[in-house]
Amino acid sequence: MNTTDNQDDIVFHAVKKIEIIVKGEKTEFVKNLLTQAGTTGFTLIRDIAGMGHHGFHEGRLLFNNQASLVMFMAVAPEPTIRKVAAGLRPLFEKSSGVMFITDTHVVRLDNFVPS
Amino acid sequence: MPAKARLLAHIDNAAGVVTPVWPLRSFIATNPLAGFESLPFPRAVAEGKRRFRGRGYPSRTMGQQALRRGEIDLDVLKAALARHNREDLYEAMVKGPVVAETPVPSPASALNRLSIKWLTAFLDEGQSAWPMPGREQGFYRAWKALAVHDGELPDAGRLRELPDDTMDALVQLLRDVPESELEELLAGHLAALPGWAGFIRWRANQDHYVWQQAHPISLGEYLAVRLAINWLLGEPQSVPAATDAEVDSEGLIWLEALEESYRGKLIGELRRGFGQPQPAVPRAEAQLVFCIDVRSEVLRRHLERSGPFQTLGFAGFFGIPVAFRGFTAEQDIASCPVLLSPKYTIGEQVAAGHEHAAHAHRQGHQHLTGLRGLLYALKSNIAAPFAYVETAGSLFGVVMAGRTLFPEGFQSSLRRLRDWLVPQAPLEPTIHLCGGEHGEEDILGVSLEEQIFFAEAGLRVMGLTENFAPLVVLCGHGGETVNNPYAAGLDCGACGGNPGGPNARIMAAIYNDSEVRAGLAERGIVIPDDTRFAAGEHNTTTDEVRIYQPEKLRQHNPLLFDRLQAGLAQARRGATAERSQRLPNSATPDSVFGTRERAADWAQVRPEWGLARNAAFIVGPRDLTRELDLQGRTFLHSYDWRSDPEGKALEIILTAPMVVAEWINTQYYFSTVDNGMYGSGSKVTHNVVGKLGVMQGNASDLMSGLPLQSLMSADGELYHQPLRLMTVVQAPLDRVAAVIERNDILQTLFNHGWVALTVIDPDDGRFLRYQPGLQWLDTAEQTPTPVPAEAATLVESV
Repeated sequence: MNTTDNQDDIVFHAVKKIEIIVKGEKTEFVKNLLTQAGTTGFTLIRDIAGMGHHGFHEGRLLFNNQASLVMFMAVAPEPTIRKVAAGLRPLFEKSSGVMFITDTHVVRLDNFVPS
Repeated sequence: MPAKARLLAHIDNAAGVVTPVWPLRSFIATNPLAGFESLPFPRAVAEGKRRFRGRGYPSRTMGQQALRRGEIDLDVLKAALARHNREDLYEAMVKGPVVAETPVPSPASALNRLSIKWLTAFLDEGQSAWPMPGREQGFYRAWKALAVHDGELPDAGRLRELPDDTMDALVQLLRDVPESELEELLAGHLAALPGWAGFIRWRANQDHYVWQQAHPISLGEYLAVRLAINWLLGEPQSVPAATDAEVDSEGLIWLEALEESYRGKLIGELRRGFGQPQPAVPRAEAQLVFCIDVRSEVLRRHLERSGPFQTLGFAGFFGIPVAFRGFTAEQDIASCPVLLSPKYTIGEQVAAGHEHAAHAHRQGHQHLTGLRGLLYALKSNIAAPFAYVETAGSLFGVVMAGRTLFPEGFQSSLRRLRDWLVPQAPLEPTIHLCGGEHGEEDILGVSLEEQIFFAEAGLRVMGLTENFAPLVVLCGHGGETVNNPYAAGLDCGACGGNPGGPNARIMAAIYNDSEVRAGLAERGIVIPDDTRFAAGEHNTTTDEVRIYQPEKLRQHNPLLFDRLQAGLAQARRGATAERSQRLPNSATPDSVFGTRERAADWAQVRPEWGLARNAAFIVGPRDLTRELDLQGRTFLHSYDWRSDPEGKALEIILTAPMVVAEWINTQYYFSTVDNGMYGSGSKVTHNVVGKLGVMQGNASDLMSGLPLQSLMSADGELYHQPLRLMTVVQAPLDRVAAVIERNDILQTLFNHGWVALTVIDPDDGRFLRYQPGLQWLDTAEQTPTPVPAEAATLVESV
């Protein structure tokens, strides 16, 4: 794993970040997938807005959580993120959603690697 | 893991063929073909036929019956035949013989029978006196540990060859199936028992459900067990054969004829009423807000005619997504539509000065619960039944005779006895934030800012932003029935299949709060100081409206309170008399007593008609419908386009209450056209299983739709009319179009013919019918095409 030292004695550990945007009704599936793949946690943002293949999607439907969009963010070593991405591909063949994978760094690596 | 991760996604994709099924205690109406809503209606029906062998259209018997009763206009039928170029069917449809349609149930296959046996054991929620051991390990592991001893499974010892981990076992069992065929195979297995699979699909997503926490199950676990049984039975792991779908042109034509006959009349009536000058209405003495439920329409009409009362329609959870924790309740109840998760927990507290009464109430409740537990233990304990019957049998004989011979009187006596044992105490919802009894994270109440937010949202959505009456009553609703596993089906769907009284009480308390009113005033909604909010609950079986804490209201304004009570009593007489005409065996001159008796009768299979005959969803001010007799067939949502320039309120109404109405409508529709497959069959042969649902006999699929008696008034006599929902919106066309354009869910429902839409544009008075692809047809100029052109083409090519 790549590390970068600097004078502050803080080590930046290179990991991958995945951001997943799906309909609210897929929330449980994504949670399950992230857990099964071995991520140690995730951030979930509900009621997000945006523009995609299906036009502009309003962020907030006051009385309907299932049709609104949610975004997951998870950080983990590459093999774990690969498992998540592999699990999402067949899903996106049938239902709408996107994922973005980026390089990122964390300081406390232990928090992002399953014990 | 990538193989397992992909498998997880394939399972989730395959799960789309089955609709989630809620436990019977909350009985949430759903579309059994919800997984196919992305398809045009005729294609979805064809998929239903292919997957479940379910019929998706009214039969000839139903059509001819509707024709005889005048529910189908012959000219409309001819027009439908011409539209499909099937005039050749006319003679056969109108005069032709009726094909015998009594379905012969096929015996369950060994695979289904064994799956059902183990599912009923594992999923039991407290009905069984001797529960299945090891359930805390999850379904697959618990099953594997016991199934090796199952004599019905050939060579069960081979199960030891399978891994203990569910996903590893699935990978092994499916190793010979090409990935391209995987989803079809899994979907076939799930569709084989859609009720059970739907229940697991629901339960697997309920992190906080106490039975799921104790005994976890997922569709993956169910499939692992099912595929393992299949493997032991020596069946190939291949796609189960599905029947080919046949085109049912006749059924589609019957459906369109039924729909257009009804819709034409409704639009005609709305058109006649629209634009008529409304008489100047003096300030109403009371405004009563009812749920949009079709049953409210009857009572609202009678109430408005009984005095200076104005009524409004709003989703019966009154806009606040809460879990309600009753004063003596063991569990919180999610009292909001299932489209939402509760955001707040609201408890109950003793009203000041009534601590003694509350103590007596709690103690009485504990005694009653203890007594019930004792009786159940005596009944189910292997050593006690004989002695129990010897000592208590005669008492139960008296109870049985009372229930049978004098249902109403007996039920009233029982109620009085219960009130004596558990004396009522004045309780109030805990609105303001406070800590609960279950640790640091147990927070009850709603912050002031959020109270103001929900208060404003509720008023704006129903268009009640000015002209407040001195009294505004929020009326939740619930049904009343005994000995009925389907009791929750009569309660409020917007409250997750619970009575809506708690939500009404919560919101009334919020609207009476001076700080909330100050916040609303800052946002432009001024509630006069002399306006008071109160809560009530409409008993839809007896049409009684019970006002909470009436003594407070009487003190506040005795004259108004008495007038309201008199108005409610008069409306009740009128509404029960009207409804009794539609109920079978209700020949009593006293309709109020008659409906009370139905509610108390333990042998009554039709305590009320529920939402049968629902057909339309009307969004607009009450002026549009006040003069009409809509016969309890329409959901009525109050809406004022003038106070909603951006269409936000309309968006909320169409994306939530209308979606729920569509679920209800499609459940009624499919339960009627194929009661055996999409409904739940006759109540006579129902068998309550695991306290979670019903089966037909001792090994059937979990029945998920409506029972026969909720749809038919007698053998072969339909009561419900199977037709799809029509939504009518009174609002400027461009505003409606913009809302549809920004919501996929609406495009799906309208473009694919699940819901029809007519817009009444107040700017020019046009009645415009929605056509697929955001096209509009002025109904005054042309006959509308009921089925989307795209769908009509597709049905021929299926």
